[in-house]
Amino acid sequence: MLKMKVKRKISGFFSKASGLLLVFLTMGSAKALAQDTLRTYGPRIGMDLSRAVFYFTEPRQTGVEASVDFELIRHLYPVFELGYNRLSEQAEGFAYSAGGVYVRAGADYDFLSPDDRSKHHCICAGLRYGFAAFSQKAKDISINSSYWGPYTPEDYQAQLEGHWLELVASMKTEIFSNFFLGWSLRLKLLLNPEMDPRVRPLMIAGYGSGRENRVFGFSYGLYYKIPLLKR
Amino acid sequence: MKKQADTRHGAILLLILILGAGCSPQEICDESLDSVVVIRFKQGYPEALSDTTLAGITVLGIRGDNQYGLLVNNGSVFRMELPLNPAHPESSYILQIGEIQDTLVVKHSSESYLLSEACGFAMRFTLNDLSYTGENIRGDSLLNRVIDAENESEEEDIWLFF
Repeated sequence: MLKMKVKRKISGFFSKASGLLLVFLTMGSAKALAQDTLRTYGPRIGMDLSRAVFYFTEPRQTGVEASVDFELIRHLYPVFELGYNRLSEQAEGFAYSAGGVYVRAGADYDFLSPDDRSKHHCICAGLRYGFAAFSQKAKDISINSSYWGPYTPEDYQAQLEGHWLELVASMKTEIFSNFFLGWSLRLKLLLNPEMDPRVRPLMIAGYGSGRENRVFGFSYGLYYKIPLLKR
Repeated sequence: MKKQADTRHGAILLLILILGAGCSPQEICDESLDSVVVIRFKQGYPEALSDTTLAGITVLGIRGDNQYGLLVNNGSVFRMELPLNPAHPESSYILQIGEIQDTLVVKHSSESYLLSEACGFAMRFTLNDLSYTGENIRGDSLLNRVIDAENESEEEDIWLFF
């Protein structure tokens, strides 16, 4: 009964292009690091820079994300990520907003084994479990029946929880001592797509569109490792 | 020189891939969002049911006091699609065959739901009861209680026996 047409649009170009620039920058800067045989240990705190770019390319979405990881044993980095997302959109026949906080917990495995122990570059694969607590609202809903005429239902509001898994491929390069730039590519698998059959969310904080059971994510960030130990 | 050219080609290829990855689909909705109940006409009630076509039938939807909307105009039909009223807990129709009028009332509950980002909201109905007055309709069978804008028009929701 319902037919959809699909058209293509160019979006997110600037964020992708700046990501490319970041890759070249990090690869070039890595060569300039000083040699040292000692290795530093400590929590590495990160901020997702791609959110700032999205602010200009996708102004309907806002968000912030921070992360922390730690080299627990050689090659293995437990990771904890915390963030906030908000979406506000005026669509045809309704106004929608959603916002909430999310956390991800998991670990990265570093495949690099540099001869120089002082180097902390990372080519990693990892796994995350994600959880979001968020709300969504729809107001000014208008349903235009071709026979009965326009109808305005009550506004809609719900508090929801989202659960998902992520497969992560990432790279981090130490551009200066204890400072890193890096990017990650994520495949996200939604575990509870039927969280609200009435309104499948247009945005799950930290996940993306709740109307898709699988989504891809891309981010890049700046990280600082607090050098607590050196041995 | 060759290595430099390879690097340049690689960078161009990467840029093309990134541009391609930047294309995302956007839905456009150009269809009616009406939720309609599909009614099939049967005869031979109650023992020997078979499909039938009603000739000269006119169907009107009751919109309010002395307000009617035409749905079928003196047609010869074996089925009909009746839009359900989102603003009321029941939808009422007049079926007129010749000089005889029957009134059909479908009682339902309803709630809005998000069909898609492009199409917006539509109504999902749950049919609770069916009643009728008049001489033509002899019985009914409710086949499908949940009606929304995504129901296939080929599916039959109600059988009416004449």
